[in-house]
Amino acid sequence: MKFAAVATVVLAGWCVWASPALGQQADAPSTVGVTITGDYGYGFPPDASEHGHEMDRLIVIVHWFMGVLFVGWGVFFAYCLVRFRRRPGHQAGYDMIKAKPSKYAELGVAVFEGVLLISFSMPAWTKAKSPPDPATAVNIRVVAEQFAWNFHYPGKDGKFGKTDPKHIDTAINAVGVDRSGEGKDDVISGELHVPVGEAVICQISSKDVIHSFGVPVLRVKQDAMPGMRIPVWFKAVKTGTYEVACAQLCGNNHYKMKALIVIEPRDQYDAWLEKKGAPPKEFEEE
Amino acid sequence: MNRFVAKVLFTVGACLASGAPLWAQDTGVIKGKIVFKGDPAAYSRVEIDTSKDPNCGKDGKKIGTENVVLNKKTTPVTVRNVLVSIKEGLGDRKYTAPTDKVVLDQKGCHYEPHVLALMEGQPLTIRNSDDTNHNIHFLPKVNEEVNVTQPQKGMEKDVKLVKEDVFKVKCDVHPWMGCHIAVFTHPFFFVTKEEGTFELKNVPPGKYKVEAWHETFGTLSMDVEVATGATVEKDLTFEPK
Repeated sequence: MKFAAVATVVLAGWCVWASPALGQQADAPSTVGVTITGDYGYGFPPDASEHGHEMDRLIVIVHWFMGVLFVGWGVFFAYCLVRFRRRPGHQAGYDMIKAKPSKYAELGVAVFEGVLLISFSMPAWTKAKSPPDPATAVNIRVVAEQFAWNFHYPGKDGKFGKTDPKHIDTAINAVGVDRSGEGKDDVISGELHVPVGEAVICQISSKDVIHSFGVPVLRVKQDAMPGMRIPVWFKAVKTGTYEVACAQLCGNNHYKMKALIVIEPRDQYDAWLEKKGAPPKEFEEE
Repeated sequence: MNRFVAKVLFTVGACLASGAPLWAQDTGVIKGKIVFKGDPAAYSRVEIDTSKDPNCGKDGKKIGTENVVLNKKTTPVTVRNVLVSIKEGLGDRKYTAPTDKVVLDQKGCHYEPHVLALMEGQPLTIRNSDDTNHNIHFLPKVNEEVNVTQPQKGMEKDVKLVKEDVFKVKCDVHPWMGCHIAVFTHPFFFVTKEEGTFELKNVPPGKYKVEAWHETFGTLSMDVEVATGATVEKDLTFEPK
């Protein structure tokens, strides 16, 4: 028992001592030469979405709960090792324990998990799984491929053109938009731009293997499955330039499968879309 | 007599050292242009959006599409990056690959050259001249696959292609990057450059089928008869519908 008490005190002491270091802010990372907005440390990345705080709260509660369980069970385990160690004259018993405290503890855990599920997880997930009306939201198709992200915007007419693998040109038409119909004004980009404060629906798909569309600052993560188009939505509330990463090991260059997400005011977003929607410039060799 | 033997040995040695065949004096030349007939405006090159990797083009240099590169300044308009080679007529002749190293460079986030031709067994070096990560991926039909990451500038990788083949090469990190490699059993091949002309030198006398291959326009062929010491001049015309 003494050992368990000492171990607990040492662990708690280390946590208190190390906590300032754990909370220190590191330099903001830069990806491919572009500075990423926000402070990054050992904790959560910056939260730039409307729903992000709910996810963070859930993660914090779950971690505290796991911490309590870990320490509680650790102490109990250490206690049992010492209290019921092999000694002359003592024999192991195989009867179920009938003490009430363990029942209360188990009931407490079950009740807490129930509260966690009903009061925190379900409201957060109900919101996450209830996308806004596509007619009022910004619609973007996100097409993953080894090892890049393609972002397909419907253009001025608000309608996505038909896509077909036969139209794919890896240099200028990565998603295979048919430019003859509604796709003539579609925009294909290697950067994801979204307007701040507006609901954005991303339809996630993949051209080859399973990827995962992960935007840490938006607390958004959704697998990209070949043959499926899976919606995920968010509302960004902070402007800045952040990272999109692939969160599913997809091959030898998975680590390089990144893109930039630029969250910007509506007027800047419109200007960017207008510029990207212009016909590609004729290339003249120098 | 000794002087004659020395001359013969010198000639043989010089030929071997230069890679020129011993029968060079008894050969002919096939030359010509690859002409484009049609509307050049329909095949204009466009700038490639390289925003997926801001390291590409950070020096301000743009890159353009290379699936069709026309030389509009020439009359008639000619085509660049066409692979011209002898397809039939060499019989059982065997040729030794030169030891000159051929380099496929990843520079400015595109490949240089766009069409690379070499002989079976000729040393090939893949180089990364960019300050970014490239993953070169050969997609051969009969040779062994090459799939190599070169994360740092200046990295090189030597490879050998030992079978006749024509195949595509891509970069797994930058989807717009692509080029083609052709491997031959003989040295009679040429890739057209700015002028859109080709020249096959040291061709032994005989009747041949010469083929021109272009990644977008497909293949054309022509029959050619080469006489000793003669230069045959014949053009090929791509006329896309």
